Amino acid sequence: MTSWETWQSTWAGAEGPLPDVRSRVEREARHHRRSRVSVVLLLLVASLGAIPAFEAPEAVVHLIGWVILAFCAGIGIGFAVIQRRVGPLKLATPREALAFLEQRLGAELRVAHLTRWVYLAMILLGGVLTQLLYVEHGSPLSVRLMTLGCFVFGLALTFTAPVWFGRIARRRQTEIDRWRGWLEEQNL
Amino acid sequence: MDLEECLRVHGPALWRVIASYAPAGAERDDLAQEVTLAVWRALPRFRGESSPRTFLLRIAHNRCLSHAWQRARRPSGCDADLPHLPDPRPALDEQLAKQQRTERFLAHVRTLPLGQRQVLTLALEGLSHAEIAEVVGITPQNVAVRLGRARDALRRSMQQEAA
Repeated sequence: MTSWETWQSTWAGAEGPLPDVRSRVEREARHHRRSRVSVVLLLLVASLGAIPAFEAPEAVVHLIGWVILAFCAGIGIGFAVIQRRVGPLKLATPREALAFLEQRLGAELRVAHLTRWVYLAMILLGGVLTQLLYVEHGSPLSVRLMTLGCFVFGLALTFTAPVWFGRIARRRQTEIDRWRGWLEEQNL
Repeated sequence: MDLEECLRVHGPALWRVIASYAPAGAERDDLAQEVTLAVWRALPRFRGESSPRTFLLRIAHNRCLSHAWQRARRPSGCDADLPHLPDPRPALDEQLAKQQRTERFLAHVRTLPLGQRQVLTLALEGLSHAEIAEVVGITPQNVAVRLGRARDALRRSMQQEAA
């Protein structure tokens, strides 16, 4: 074998993986669609779960039912408005894909903020109302404290959501910026 | 032409072009991502005036050239331009030995000047002088001259290592 043939065979034997960036974006788009459906289903379940509250004789329980419905409505309307800003999913070109990824990132952060404030309002109202109900029923202190603990835990999670979402978003934004930088360079 | 189909059929050739510009590691991964993005972006512009392979290799080479220029502009460019030659000692595992041979060969290719490297890698891909001329944008006569020099330079580089 001549050296050229040896080189050619070594060259032809060299192989490695190429990243399929589009399938990654398509995966993100699928996550996005699934998360939309999940939120709608969760809100539906929560709203249906509030219905039995209206059958109870106590007015406070009715109020708790209204608080849950108001929470679902608040999250639902806010989520719909945020998702409208993301717009239709277009992934035909890298620029469209990047725009989608960026909008999705922004939408996630806005949803985290929305959850923070709507949940806070629900906790304040719901917390007061459940404690009133427990007083009326003379429930033991342990039950009251446990319910309060659950509310506080939920509040800690939702109130800090924008902070940890922001941290994740910064990393992903850096990657998006890098991709965009490459695209800009190619325009030169 | 679909991106998935392109990467399936011509992915190995694109990868080899990338490997002739960037050593294994993060730099090669980054360049692979850049080339894939560039291919995705350019595919709608493909009108069938040339073969898909020539079209894709031109994109990959242009993208890799920009990368090489950026790399040369970096302050640490002198270190980065040193040939990265893997350990030449024989490896026990056959697969590993083959991989080492390939990486060593690619490292030698990366030591060539850009113009020579371009024509050599395209010739190794099996492109004719006319096709290489179309990709690089020079005359076929010029391709022959550059290819001759590239082969000599590569041979010298490999002999130096063997000595």
